[in-house]
Amino acid sequence: MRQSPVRRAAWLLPLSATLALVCALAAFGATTRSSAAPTLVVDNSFTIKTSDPQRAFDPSASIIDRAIYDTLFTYNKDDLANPVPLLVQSWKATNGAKRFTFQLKTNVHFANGAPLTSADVVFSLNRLINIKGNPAFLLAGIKVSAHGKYTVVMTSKTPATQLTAILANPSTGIVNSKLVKAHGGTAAANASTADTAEQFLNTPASIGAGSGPYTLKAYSTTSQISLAPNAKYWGTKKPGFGTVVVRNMIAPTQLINVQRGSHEIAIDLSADQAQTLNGNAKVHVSLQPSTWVFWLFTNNDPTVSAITSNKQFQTAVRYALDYKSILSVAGPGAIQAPGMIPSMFLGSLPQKDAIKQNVTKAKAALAASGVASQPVTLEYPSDLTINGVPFTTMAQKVQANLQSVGFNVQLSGSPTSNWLTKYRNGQMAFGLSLWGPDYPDPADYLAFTPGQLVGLRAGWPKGSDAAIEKLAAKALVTTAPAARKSIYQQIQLQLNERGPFFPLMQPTQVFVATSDLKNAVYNAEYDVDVTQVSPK
Amino acid sequence: MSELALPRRAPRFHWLKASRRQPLAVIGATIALTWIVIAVFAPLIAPYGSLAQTFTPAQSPSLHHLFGTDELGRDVLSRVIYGSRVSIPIALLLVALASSIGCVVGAIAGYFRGLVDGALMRAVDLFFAFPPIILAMVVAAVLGRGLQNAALAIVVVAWPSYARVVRGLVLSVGDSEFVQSARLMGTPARRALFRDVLPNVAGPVIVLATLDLANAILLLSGLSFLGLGAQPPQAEWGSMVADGTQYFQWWWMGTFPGLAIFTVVLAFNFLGDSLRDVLDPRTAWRSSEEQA
Repeated sequence: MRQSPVRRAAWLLPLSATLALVCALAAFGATTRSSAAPTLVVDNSFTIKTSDPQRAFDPSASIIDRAIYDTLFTYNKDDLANPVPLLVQSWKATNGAKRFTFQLKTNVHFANGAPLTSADVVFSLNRLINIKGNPAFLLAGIKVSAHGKYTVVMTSKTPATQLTAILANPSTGIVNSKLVKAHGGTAAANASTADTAEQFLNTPASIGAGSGPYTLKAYSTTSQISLAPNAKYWGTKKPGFGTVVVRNMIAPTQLINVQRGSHEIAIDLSADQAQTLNGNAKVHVSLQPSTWVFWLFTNNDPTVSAITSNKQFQTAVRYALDYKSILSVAGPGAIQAPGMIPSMFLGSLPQKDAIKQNVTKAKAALAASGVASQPVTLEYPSDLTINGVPFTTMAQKVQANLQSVGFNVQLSGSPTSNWLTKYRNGQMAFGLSLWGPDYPDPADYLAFTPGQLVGLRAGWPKGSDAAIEKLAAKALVTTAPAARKSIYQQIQLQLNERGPFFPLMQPTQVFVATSDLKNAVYNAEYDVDVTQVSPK
Repeated sequence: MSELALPRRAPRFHWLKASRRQPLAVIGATIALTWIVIAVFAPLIAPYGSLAQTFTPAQSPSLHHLFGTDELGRDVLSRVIYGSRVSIPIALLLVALASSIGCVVGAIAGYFRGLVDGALMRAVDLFFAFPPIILAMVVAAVLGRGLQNAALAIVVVAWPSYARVVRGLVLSVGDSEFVQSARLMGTPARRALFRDVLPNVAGPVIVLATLDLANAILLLSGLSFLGLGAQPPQAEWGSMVADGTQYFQWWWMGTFPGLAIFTVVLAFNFLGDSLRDVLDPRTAWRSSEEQA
């Protein structure tokens, strides 16, 4: 029995209709997708222990916390010389820069709609001080009080000319005091033991804790951290992206990703890797001196190591290093660090003052130390790459330098978190480390003087070097730029002469962004301020 | 009384004839022997020292540096050659150690049976419950980074498979007449185990050990790749591949040590497969049939 042509064609009708419907839905879906806010991807070699702003003090945390928590001041793009008000409407400094009065903006509210007032500022900054975490030193000696709902007063015993720069640091991000208190937060004097809000702040449940343009969506310190737009953001410039993803990627993978991605930023490429992008119109590459400084330290505490605390040993290390060959591991653009203060900051040393290798002097000092060929272990974070320079490579270069002069150096790499714990506890005898500025002011580098944060980590307590400590005290109260420059340079020259620190180099800062991004520039304080980046 | 015992030896094989029938064995043995010779004579063969940072960094392969130079100006060829001195001897040692431990445990379990067998095999099951690389990583991480600890981790991972295989073989051999005879004659257990039982299970153990050489090299390289094995600046293939991943733009840094791992693992796999064919009576019989 044969079917008529009409009957045969009849079954095609519903099929055609279904196909048409599917095509229409697909087209609609495509339209919907293209009109949605895009995703910004930031590839970064992670160094993050927490996103709790008052505890966090690592580069990756700065990217995240800048987006979630507003600070009193911030920076416009990459202009670090001039902090600009963010939460502050107006401010004034009186009593020789010892008293600061800040008038807060009255229209600011957190992501849950609660208004941001002076009580939140006082709570956040006192929490920072009393948790006594790594960033607590930022506000050392500062007293914070509220004078009315939107007025905050800060006083200091010594002039605090760097205060506005400090208040742009993400660790001074303002949290919602009511919400954080409700989740175990406290700003009381015993906050270091009583505050239990860290875990809450590391979860997406903390959505109302900040007033920034983004909120925490997903959090992992090993893979990636995602941010979602703050639907109730108070500012005039709304978040530019539907999602911001900060991913933990090694530099070579960053290089591949940024070439094939869209709305993507790579932070940790080396100068050598950046050269492979020459002529690629899809990406914009910028090279600038990095504010990071790689340095070695020898623990000055004899109970930690009788070898590294030996002054002759320290002198031998200082003159044994072949600083020029060390630069080769960073590729073009890297410069020797003449002192701990990077070249672009007030008080940095000129290149002519940089230590030069002197093998004769090094050998003589090593012989005088009596250490002979006793083994000493150089510890470094084996999984960390900064500006495309892996610590593992750097450590091997340093080892080869020292061995060629007669040292017996063993290498010991460990995960960054393990390395940081030992380093911060002051139990590391010989370490390869780095320092990035907490705020763009030379006062930040007083941490390397005896009794201060880094000094203590290198077994250099207060009273270890009266001359350097006297200069450091003078630096704190000097406000004239020329005088400050001179003092900071003297401090570094003396550190280079007899301190337990050995500045090695400033690598090249490479910043690569796809060409479809606006305002994607490197910012030494935040690495990248994702709140200012938007799609073109 | 010994005339009562049945023949203890496994059947003899004509190695040369068997090799002709097994071209993969010849290829595997040639590559493996080449690598062993390279490892033994590394200081004479390598053009430069493995640690000498004396050349321009990141040079691509050339006549002066056949495998190029790495990020610190070290000759990659020399480091690959010296790397064989780490991977191959350690793998041989590890497999010898793991097979010894596994054979003893398996033989005791199979010979004594009962409660001893149950207890030992449950312990073996515990080790089998974890994927080998994960177990090796856990052991290496607990003991701390370094080649010695990584080697120990591999032994921990490797011995249970020998124990299980040997136990099975001993169970079957234990039922054979010559072992029963030895028992009846009052031969001490230790003597019976080592003189009568173990020699008769040597064939499969040798096959397993040869295949395990490849696994040991892979595991050792894997642990070093993850930073748990050899530490810088030691030239070790796995850690060299890991260094190479930091510098994808300099492809030669990771490719050549990777090829070294590939060739040596392939060689031991060829060798192991062929040995199995030769020593296994079932496959040997099949081969003879095919030849006929």
